[in-house]
Amino acid sequence: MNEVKNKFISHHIGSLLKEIFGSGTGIITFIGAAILIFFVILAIFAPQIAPYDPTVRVSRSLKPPSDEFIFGTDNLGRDVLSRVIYGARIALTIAFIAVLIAAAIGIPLGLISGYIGGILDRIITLIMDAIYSFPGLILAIAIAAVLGPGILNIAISIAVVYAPTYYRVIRNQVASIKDELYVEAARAIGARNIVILLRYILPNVLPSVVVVLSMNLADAIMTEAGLSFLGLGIAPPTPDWGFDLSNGQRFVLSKAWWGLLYPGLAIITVVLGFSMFSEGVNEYLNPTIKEKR
Amino acid sequence: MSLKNYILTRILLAVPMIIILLAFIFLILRIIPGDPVLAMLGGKAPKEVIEQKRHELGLDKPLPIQFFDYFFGLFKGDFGKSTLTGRPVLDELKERFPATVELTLFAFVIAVLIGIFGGTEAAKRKDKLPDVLARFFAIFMYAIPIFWFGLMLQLLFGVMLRWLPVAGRISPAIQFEPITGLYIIDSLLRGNWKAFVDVVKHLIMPGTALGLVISSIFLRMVRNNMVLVLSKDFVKAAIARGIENKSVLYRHALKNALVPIMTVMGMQLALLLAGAVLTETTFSWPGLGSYLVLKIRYRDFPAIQGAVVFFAIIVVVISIFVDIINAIVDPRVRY
Amino acid sequence: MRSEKVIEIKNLRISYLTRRGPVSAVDNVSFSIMKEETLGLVGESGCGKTSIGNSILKILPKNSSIEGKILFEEKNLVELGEKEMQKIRGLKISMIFQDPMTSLNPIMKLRDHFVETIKTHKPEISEDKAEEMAEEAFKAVGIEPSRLKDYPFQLSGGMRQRAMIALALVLNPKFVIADEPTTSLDVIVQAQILELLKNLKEKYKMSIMLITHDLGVVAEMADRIGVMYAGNLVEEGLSEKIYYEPKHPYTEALLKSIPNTKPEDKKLIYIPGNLPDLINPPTGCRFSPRCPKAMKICFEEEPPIFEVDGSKVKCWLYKGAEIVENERVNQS
Repeated sequence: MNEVKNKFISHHIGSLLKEIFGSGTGIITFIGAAILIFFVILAIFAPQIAPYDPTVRVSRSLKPPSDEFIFGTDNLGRDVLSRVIYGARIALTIAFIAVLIAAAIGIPLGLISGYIGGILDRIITLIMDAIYSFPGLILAIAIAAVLGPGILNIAISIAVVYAPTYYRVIRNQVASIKDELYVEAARAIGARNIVILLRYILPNVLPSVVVVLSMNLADAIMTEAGLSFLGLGIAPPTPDWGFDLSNGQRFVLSKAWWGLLYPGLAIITVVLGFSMFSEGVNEYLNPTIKEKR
Repeated sequence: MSLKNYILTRILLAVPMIIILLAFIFLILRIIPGDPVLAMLGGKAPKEVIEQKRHELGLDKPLPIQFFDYFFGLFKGDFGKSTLTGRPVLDELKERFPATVELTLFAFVIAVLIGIFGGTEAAKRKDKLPDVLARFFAIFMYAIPIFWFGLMLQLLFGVMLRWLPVAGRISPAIQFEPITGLYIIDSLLRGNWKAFVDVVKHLIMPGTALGLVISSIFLRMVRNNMVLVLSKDFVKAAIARGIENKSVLYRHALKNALVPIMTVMGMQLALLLAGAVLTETTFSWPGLGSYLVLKIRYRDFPAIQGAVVFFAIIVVVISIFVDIINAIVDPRVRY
Repeated sequence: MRSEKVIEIKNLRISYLTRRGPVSAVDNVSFSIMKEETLGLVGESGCGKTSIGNSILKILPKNSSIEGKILFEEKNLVELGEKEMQKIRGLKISMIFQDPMTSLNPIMKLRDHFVETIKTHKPEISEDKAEEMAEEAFKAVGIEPSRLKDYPFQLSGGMRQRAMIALALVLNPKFVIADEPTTSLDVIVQAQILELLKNLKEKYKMSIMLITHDLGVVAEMADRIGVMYAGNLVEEGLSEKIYYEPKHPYTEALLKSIPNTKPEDKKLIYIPGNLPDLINPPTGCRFSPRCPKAMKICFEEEPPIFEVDGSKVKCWLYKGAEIVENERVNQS
C-alpha cells in the first residue's frame, strides 16, 4: 500500500506535515477540510461570489491590481479574481470526474484480477505495471491529444494515468483476503463468486479505496493544470487556472505578474488543502496508524 | 554471476518490457474513441480525402497488422513521417533529443547535489532546525506546479531583475556550429567562451526549476535512508574503529543509503521527464517535450506517437542503466 | 607483571534521557582491568554492561550522559574530545561486536575495511603494506587471506566473526572490548571463537573485557568476573571465587539458573520477578525486591561495597566487613 501511495503528492505532503506537527493532530485535517469546503463553495456559488463575469471584458487590458479589480485584469480586460473563482469549477469538476473514472476502471479490474488470479491476473498486472511506470503526464498528453478538448475527455486522460494505482491496491488486498477463513466459509456454504466479491471482499478493501480516492484528488488537479497549461484543456474562454497561466505567460515581458501569481496560488492552495484532508482520511481509516497512537 | 553476465541478462529482460510498452502506446492511441484522421483533418473533410489519408497512414489494415508494421518499422529506425513537415519523425526527434538531455542532466545534477548534501545534513541533525527546514522546502516543492515555478523564476530573474535570459537555449546573436548537440560541451569543444557563458545562462533557470522540484524527492529519500543507516551496527562499528566522522558519514553511511534510492529512481525518472515537458514549454526549450506539445497543436499524429514511443524507450533504457549502476554499487544485487 | 592497570573505571554513571525521564543505566560502577587480564562482565540484558563497553569508546547514543572517570594511559576518556577519541578507537582500544552479520559494511570488500582502518590511524603505511597486514591478521584468525577480496555477505557467520576479530586486532590494540562476541553464533562455532580469542590474547598480550550474559562463556575465558545487576556492579572477584563461592544472592541465583547438564538436576531454576524500572529505581539495594535473603535495611539503604574473602560484594549480608567504597553514604 505504501509503495503505491508514493505515487501521490498528497501522501508526501501529508507525511511531511505529520512529521512537523506530530501525528494525530486534527488541525491538519481541519485546515484541509476547511480549504476543501472553501473551494467547493467557490465553485458552486461562483456566479454569486465573483464580482464580474469571467468571460467578458470589464476593463482596460492588463490593469494591475486595484480596489476595483483586486487581482487585476488580463490581456482581454477580464477580471482575474473572477476567473480564479470560476477556475475552481473546472479544476474540481475534472478532478472529481477523473478520480471516479480511475476508480471505476481500477477497482473492478483489481477485484477480478486478484480474485481469479492465474494467467488473466498476470496479463492485466503486466499492462497496469507498464502504465504505472510510464511518465503519467506524457501519457495523459497523448490520450488528451487523440480525444480532443472537453471536460470528460480531459478527465478520461487523467483517469488512465491513475487507474493502475487503484488496481494495484485492490488486487494485492483481494489476493491476500480471498484465502481468509471467512471467505472460505462463505465459499463452503455455496455463496456465488459475485456474492463473495461484493459482500465479503469489497467491504474490506473499501477503506483503502477511500484513502486512495482522497489522495488522488490533489494529483488530478495538478495533472489537469499541466494539461491545460499545455493547451490540452477545455476550450477558451472558459476560465481555467492552467490555461490562464499559459495565457498570462504571453505577457510576462510586460511584467503583468498578477495574471501569473493568483491562478498559481490557487492551484497550490487546493493541492495543499486536498493533501491535508487526505492525510486526515488516511489516518482515520488506517487502523495500523490508529493503533500506534 | 559476473557483472558482465548480469548486464546481459538485464538487457535481455528489458526486451519484453519494451514490447509491452510499445503495444500499449500503440493500442491506447488506436483504441480510444477518437479518430486520428478525423482529428487531423477536421470533421468537414470529404469522405474520399479521409479514406485516402487512412490508406496513406496504413490505418485501413487490421489492427495486428498495423502493429507489426509499426513495430518492425521501429526496429529499422522508421518512426513514420511527420504529416506536418513530411520529414522522418526519427530525424526530428534526434535533433531535439540533445536539448532534453542537456536540460534533464543539468536538473538531475542539481537535484542530486541538493538531495545528497541536504538529506545528509537533515539526517545528521534529525528533528533539529535543518531537518524541519528541509521538510518545509519539500512540502513547498511538492505542492507547486513546476510550470508555475518556472514562470515565477522567469518573471523575477528574467523580466524584473534581467539577470538571466527569459527563454530559449542560446541567444540568436551567437553563431556556433554544434558537434554533439549538447551546447555546453560543444561550446567548450569549439573554445567559444562567449557561447559557453550564454548557454549556461540559458540553462540555469529551466534547469534549476526542474532540478529543485525533483530535489525534494531525493532529499527526503536520502534523509530517511540516512537516518535508517546511521542507526545500523556497521556505522557504530566504523566509529569504534576510529574512522573519521566525514568518512563514516559519506563513505559508509551515504553509500549504503543510496542503494535503495537507486532502485526507486525509475519513478523519479518518469517525474523528471514529465517535468521536462512542462519546463520545456515554459522556457521555449527546443527539446522533446516542446516537440510533443508542438505536434499536438498541429495534430501531427505520426510525430506524436513517435515522440511518446521515444519517451518510452528512454524510460526503459535508463531503468536498465540504473539497475546496472545499482549492481556495481551493491554487490549483493548480482548474486 | 599483572600489577599494571590498563584501564581504570571510577564511579562511572551513565544515564539516558528518555521521554519518560532519565534512565540510570549504570550507577556508580568502579573496577579496573590489569595488563593481559580478561575481565568478564556478566549480567542480564539491560543491566548496563553494554553501556559500560560503549562508554569506554564513547560511542553511546546522543541522548546519553557520562559521569565519573575512565582512566586509560593517564588520560580521562570521559573528558576527551571527539578528535582525540578517534585516535584511540581501533588503534589502542578495539571493539568486537555482537552481530558480525550487521557490523561490517555490506557493500565494502573486507580488504577495504582493513585498509581504511590501518590508513586512518597510520597514514604512513602504504596500501600494499596495509593489505599485507590484513593478510597476516586473516591468517592469525584462521581465514584464507584470499577471502579478503570478498564482501561480508559471502562469508559464513563464524567466518565473519573471525574477520571482525582480525579487524579489531589488526593494529595490535592493548585493550579489546568484546561485546557478546559469540551470542549470535552456533554452539560449536562459539567454542571455536572463544578458543581463538584466548589464543590471540596470549599471542598479542592484550587485555580483554568480555561482556556477556552467558556465565558459561566467561568461565572459559575470564580471569576475573564482574557481575552486574540493574546498573550496579554487585560482585567482583576471581573467576573461581565467583563460581564456587558466590557471595551476592544475585550471583548465586544467576549460577543456579544456568541450565545444568547433569541428569539429576532436572529443575530449571529462575529468578522470580523482573528487572527494576531504572527511571525510578527501588530505594536501598536494587536487587532487594527479588532477593530471597532481603532484610529490612536492604529496602531502605543502598549497600556499600564490602571486601569479603578477596571479592568485592555490594550486599548488606556482609555488614561488618571492611568497606571498600561507600560514596553514596558519604554524599548524603
